[in-house]
Amino acid sequence: MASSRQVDGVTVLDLSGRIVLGEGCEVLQEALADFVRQRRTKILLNLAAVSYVDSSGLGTIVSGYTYLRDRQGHLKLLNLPKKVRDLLQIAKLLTLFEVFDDENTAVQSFR
Amino acid sequence: MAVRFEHQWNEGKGRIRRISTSLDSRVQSADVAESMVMEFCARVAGELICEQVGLAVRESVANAIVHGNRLDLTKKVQLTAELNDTGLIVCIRDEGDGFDPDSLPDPLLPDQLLNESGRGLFIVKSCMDDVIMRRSESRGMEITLIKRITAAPLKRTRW
Repeated sequence: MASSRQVDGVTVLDLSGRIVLGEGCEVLQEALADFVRQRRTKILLNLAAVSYVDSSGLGTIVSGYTYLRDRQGHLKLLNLPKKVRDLLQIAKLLTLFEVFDDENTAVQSFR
Repeated sequence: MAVRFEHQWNEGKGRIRRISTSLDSRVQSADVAESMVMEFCARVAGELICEQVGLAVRESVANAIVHGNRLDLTKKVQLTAELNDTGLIVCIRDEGDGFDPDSLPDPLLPDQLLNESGRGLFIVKSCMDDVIMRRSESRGMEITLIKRITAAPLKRTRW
């Protein structure tokens, strides 16, 4: 599940459930592609309600990061659940992303 | 999809429990395999270990389906999971062409970090105690996942 909202020019994408091979990854890919089409390139992924991510989910997030970066955009992460944080850590991806625990601070960081 | 449940008494080594199934080469089979093995694992292990095993099984089955069988619905993925005194042993075999695991790039290398794919086997290895990969004697690739579970005794079940 994914729903988006605008906060001070930043698109916050609230994700929930599992980001895994199949439907979960497709939802995220489609949402990110839509944002780029709408020229919304400041993206904050709120993962607070995400229960699970697999390697395909990690790949989708990385792909979104590079896709936006190549278009002068930014993708940042908010509210990582422990399981997701641990997976990003072992895949050495935690240092790649800007990660926040507070939405207001995250939104301000795009300025 | 038929899941076979077997249990037998192996004299001197205690009870062995085993499940096996044949999975279709579609992405949903990763979900099926993950939940099936997690439920099986939960009979002897806690939540954390079951989640690690579940993720390793999901990744291995996804690899077998997508990269091994290339989503060819005429091909199957065979899965067996066995509980013994050592712990949990899961074997997953596809019907693809097989590959050399040593040929895979290290996903942690700086020039690989931004790749969209290539982390599955690394995650499998990080979740399990031992991972053995080999070309199957018949056809395809076979991966064996081992999780040592020695502290908890086998729980009584209704099987």
